[in-house]
Amino acid sequence: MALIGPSGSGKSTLLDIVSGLFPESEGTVSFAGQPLSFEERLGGSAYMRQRDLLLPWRSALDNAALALEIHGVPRRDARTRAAARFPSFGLAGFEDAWPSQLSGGMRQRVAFLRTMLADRSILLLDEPFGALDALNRVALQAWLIEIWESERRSVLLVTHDIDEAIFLADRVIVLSSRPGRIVHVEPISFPHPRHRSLLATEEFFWRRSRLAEALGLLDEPEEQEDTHSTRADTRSTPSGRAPGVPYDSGEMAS
Amino acid sequence: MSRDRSFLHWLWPTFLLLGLLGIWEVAVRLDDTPRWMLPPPSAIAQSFRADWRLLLEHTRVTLLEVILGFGLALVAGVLTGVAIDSSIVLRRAIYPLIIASQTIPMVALAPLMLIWFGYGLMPKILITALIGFFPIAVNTVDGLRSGDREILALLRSMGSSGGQRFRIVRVPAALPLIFSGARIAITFCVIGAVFAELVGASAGLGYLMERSAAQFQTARVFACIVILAIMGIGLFSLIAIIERLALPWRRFHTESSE
Repeated sequence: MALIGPSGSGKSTLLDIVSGLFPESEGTVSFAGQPLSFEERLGGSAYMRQRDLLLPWRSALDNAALALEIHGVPRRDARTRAAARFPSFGLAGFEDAWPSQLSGGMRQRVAFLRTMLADRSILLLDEPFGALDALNRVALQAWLIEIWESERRSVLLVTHDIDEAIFLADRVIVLSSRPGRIVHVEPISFPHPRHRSLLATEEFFWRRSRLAEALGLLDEPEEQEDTHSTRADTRSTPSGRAPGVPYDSGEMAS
Repeated sequence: MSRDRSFLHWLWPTFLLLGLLGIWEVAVRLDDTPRWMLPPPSAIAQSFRADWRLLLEHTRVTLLEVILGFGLALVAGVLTGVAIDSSIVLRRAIYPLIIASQTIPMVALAPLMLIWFGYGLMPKILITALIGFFPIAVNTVDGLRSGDREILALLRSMGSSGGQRFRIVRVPAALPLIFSGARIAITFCVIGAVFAELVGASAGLGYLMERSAAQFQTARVFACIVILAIMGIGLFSLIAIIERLALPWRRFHTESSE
């Protein structure tokens, strides 16, 4: 399930509430039909943010094993389990590297491995690839869906990127800005396994238009052309960002 | 590569020092300055040769005072820092007092220590510890608060306990600051020990300096000063080396990517 919406619509706050970092001000958060208080929710999900939040004084391996350690797994076991998954995360050979020695993409993969190893049935991903360059981003998206297809978990993904939302999610929820309300729910019925060729299909294009419209991006077709050209002008690497239609409210306002 | 550069690093200061010593030597000889007023460097070197036994004996006393005093400051400073960090009441009660206590010149307490604890080792260790305590305690408090808020939130979302967050995030985040506090403290401690000896002692470099000055053995006073400088630099470097070994991840900090 993906959440998409302009900055300030409360997407990240929602994840903070679901993870139990903050109490909800109204409404209830339920898990499998069971309402849970925020203290009970702490530790129930695996949370990943845009910043990798690796501890600089722990090796890549010890960072990946962190959640396991906190959940009470003995350190040696935690390290063994983390090490077993390093190759499939493209991190083989970097077990003992300090985070400051790793590239941005690798750091994010270590953070993702830490999130997966927490072994929670709910993953909260807050723009997990937001800080990465376009190539790394595409690679990690493809790889996230592959991992999801092999070990299904419930994922709540916050993103700015319409393509990312459609490609990864089975349901896309569109939020409005201040106050953040659900303005549209788009079921995405593409079968799994999904491949990037999906992005070239007519249905994909059609879904994308529907979401863009729900977000208020398609008010007038003329203007839409306009925004596209200005975006291409202002983007530092326009060709590199081809697969995404990312936007934020700053661009929206103009 | 780095060896080459550190060699160059030392080359110029060494030249400058040797040049200054040369000028000193020549000027004193040409001017015929009396030796009791300003001995030439050669006379100071001569004093090292003649008095090495005496100098060694008193150096040992001062070094012991510095190390014991610093050790006490380190333990008390870190414990106080942790206590201040762990309780709001303690922070409100102790922290302002510790800061205010810095306006008291610690060396002015030396005569009191003499009255309370006599001429032995104890008053010197206490003065030394009092001087070293402040930078360590304050840096411990600041260090424990320096943990990344988002990382702490992440650990909280994992369901960690406060103790786990303390051990996994806040202590490692505090260590670099505690080390820099310790580096400042150790140089203060040398000063503190010598001052405590000057006020009243029966051994130590401060005592030897005072006695030698009274006898116009000025070259020996200079010899003591040289030893104290070397002691300060040596202890400072020792802590820097321990820091490098204890915090290996800091070595790559500057080449941090992206």
